Amino acid sequence: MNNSHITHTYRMTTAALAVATTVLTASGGIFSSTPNTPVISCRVESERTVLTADKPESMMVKVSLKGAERAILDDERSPVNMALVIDRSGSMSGERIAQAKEGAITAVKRLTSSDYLSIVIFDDKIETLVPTQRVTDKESIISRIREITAGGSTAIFGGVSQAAAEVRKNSERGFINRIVLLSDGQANVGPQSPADLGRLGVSLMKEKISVTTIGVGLGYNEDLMTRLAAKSDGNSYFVENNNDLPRIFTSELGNVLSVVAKSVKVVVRFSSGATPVEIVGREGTIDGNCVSLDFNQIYSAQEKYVLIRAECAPGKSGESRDLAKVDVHFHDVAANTSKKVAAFGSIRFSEDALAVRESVKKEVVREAALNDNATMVAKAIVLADQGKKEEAAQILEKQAAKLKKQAADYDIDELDKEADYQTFNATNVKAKGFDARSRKENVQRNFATQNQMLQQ
Amino acid sequence: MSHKTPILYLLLIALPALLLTGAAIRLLVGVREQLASLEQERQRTIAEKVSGEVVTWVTTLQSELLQQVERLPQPTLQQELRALQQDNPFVRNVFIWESEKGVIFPKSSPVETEEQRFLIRFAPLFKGDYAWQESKSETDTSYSSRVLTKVQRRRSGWIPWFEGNQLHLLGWTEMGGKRIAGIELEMSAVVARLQSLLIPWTEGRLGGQGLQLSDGQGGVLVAAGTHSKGQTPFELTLGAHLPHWLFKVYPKQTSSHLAERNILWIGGLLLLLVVASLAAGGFLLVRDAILQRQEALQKTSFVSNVSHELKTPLTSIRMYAELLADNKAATPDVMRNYLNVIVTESERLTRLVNNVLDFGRLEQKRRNYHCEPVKLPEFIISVLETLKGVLEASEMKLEINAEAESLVTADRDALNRVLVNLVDNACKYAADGKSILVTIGNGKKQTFISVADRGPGIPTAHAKRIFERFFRVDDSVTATVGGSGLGLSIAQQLMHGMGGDLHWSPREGGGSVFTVTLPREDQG
Repeated sequence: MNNSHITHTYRMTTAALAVATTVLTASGGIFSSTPNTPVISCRVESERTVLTADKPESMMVKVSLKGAERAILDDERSPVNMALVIDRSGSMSGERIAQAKEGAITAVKRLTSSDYLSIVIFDDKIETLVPTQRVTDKESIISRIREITAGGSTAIFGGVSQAAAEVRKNSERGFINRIVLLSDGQANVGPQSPADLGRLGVSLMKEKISVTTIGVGLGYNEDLMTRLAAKSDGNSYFVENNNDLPRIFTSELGNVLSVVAKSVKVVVRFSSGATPVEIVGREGTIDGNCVSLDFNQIYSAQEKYVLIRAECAPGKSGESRDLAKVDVHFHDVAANTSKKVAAFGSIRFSEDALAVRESVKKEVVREAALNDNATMVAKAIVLADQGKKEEAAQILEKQAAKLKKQAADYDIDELDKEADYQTFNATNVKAKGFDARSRKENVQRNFATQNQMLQQ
Repeated sequence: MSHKTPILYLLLIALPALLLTGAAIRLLVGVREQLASLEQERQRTIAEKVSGEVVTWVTTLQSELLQQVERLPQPTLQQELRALQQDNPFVRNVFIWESEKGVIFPKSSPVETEEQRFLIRFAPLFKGDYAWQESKSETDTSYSSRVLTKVQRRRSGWIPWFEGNQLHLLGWTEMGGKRIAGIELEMSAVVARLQSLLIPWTEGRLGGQGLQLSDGQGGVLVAAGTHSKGQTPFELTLGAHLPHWLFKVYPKQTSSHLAERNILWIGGLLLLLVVASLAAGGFLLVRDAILQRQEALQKTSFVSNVSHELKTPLTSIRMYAELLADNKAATPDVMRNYLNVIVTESERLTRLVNNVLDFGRLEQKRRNYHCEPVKLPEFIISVLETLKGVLEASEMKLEINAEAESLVTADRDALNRVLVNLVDNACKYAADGKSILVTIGNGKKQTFISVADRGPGIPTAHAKRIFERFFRVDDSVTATVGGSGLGLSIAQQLMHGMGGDLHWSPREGGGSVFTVTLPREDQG
């Protein structure tokens, strides 16, 4: 056991790499398994660390959090409080419900007696098939799952609400709370717009409940499903092939079981020379120079970030300036204590164009470009939905060209690949708009980009 | 009179049956209505209870939220409000407003964010187009007044706001000076909680009915339990707290609804059964009465016929006997003539009496048959010999066409009676035809004896009934030809008794043919 305060400082003061990425773990944490690795490492990076002097500049700032890579053993991980919400409307019948049941059973088998599980099934009526309980009698839970049959309409809002009620029963006990919603249809009972479900996601997020959505087939509403997941910091999956369902359940559960930190509050305070203008792709608030946002959890070895567009006041050549300070408060799952990390970022001004150019952070540029691209693809989808195929295709073509240029300018392969994808997208959209599959694929890609979800 | 009576009978039966039906239907409808009103009463009670619970829950939430806002320390109000928004699932947005400046927090943003949309949504209110209305102290609803009194110390309230037909609720409270702080309620979270508030009311002992909470446009917000299409719900508004929202209770799916249907079904079925059995019983009774009446009439006419038949020969016998007694016969020839008449008439009397006796035996099923082999046509010829007197009296010519010989099984007396009756009938009713043809023929297993005349024949309408007892084609007392209506009936019954048959067919060229069928002994 190591009870000492651990402070890791990686302050880089080298002039050429003037940005600093500082990681501080300040609280008195107890690391039983890996005493020398902080649970979350935090970095603040700007698009460029050297800005052109005497010129107001707009730039993207990336604040990233990465969970420590940990082999999480079953007896060390935090217990999970999970609710499965399974659509059993008429469209689910046959192979689809069978595979969904298999998936749910896979999940039950992975959980242990320290976890809680509830199962809600819904068509137009909502039924709590398994009220929240410790996963001790797996056989009885599995046999209840096997009894599920399909038929009826789709009350997604109600199903998730009921699952939340089940999860809430154990909310005081420090679990990792997760609702997994599986549906293949359009919500047609109860509130049913993506906005309504998005608001539900926001409120569940505040209760530390994340909703992971699994859309099956080509008939579900991808806007609704990704919105609900994004707003509640859950994952979202597009499963076209029923046979993939058990694998997706396994993957999702693996994800949930690898949570290293939860209730993550990020506060970014910009220094006086910089003003935050916009948070890209995530829900958060900007109050003056202060940006705050939450993550429900950070997974092992997975990076989550937020992109903040900021305006920088002109600086004199040679001037070095603090950019922002980030404070991250979180709950360390393994140690079961609250902890805090902090990071600083700074910038420098120069008249030397080469220095400015060389200071480019490819990673930030890349993520900013991909996020910007996601926003534009979303716009193209809206246009195509309105029947404006030409305009949608134009946006995508422009996007492809822009990405190509950025790829060449900064020598980033990923952007080149993305440009090719958008060229291909543009050709398809021009011909026939987005069909059900390509629309889902694109919405799903956008989700993965904006929420840093690992591609399945 | 005679054909009106059955109608009267039927009416007498149908009328009470109809009355019974009417009463039963009324009763059933009454029971149904009672069940329906009970169900409605139940729906109303549930509607009031659950909607009361909903309103209480919402108002409690509202007052708790406003109290939280009130308690926030003034110097760090912005940060505190922000923290409230970030942590409380029921707080969608927060704001601070001052009377001269309008909204001072949050700041308007050039980028379209949730906060920006909030500021736009409530812009007319924030600009001062609307007054900050206090919530009405609803003394009429006990649940809200209790909760609201605490908040009433400072000016505060909840403002319902519609955007895109969706209800938004904005809570505000005075913070001292001209400052107002407030929050926008997260309606999705409210709806989600109401879901779990309604579900227990559709499960277990309380369950069965479908509950629904819908907005002003009829859009369903929360649906719990099930209901089938076409059912009319009991509706209740939720008052000023949730304006335009409707709470609906659909009738119970199971017990009472089914019971109502079952009662109607069983009741209807029972009623149908009662009416059907009444009708059937009535029909049988009426038919029986009609038949008995007909029979009584036939018997009366039978008695008068028989009396008449008995009287005619008796009169002749008495007259000729008196003539002989008074020695009025001049010559022996005349005397023999008188005696012949007396003999013929007494033979006729004997036949009649025999018929009546036979009839009695047949009716009481006491007739015994002594069947033995009988040789044809010898037996028939001998029978016809005895009828010479009758034939002569009616001036009929008898022809016998006996093609073949055969041996049949028969009771001699019975066969004799059948032939006598047939020939006697021909003499009585077909005397105008002047001739009778008796034909004897052989079939494979049977022998046929037919008696054909050239009389007026039998109308087809009566053909079926000529073998019924007492039936006479012309049954009026004033009929020109007398008769008892027994001859053919007896003849057919006797034939059946011997294992043979007797039937009638019209004769080609006019007249009737009565055919007797007998089993052949020699081919059996």
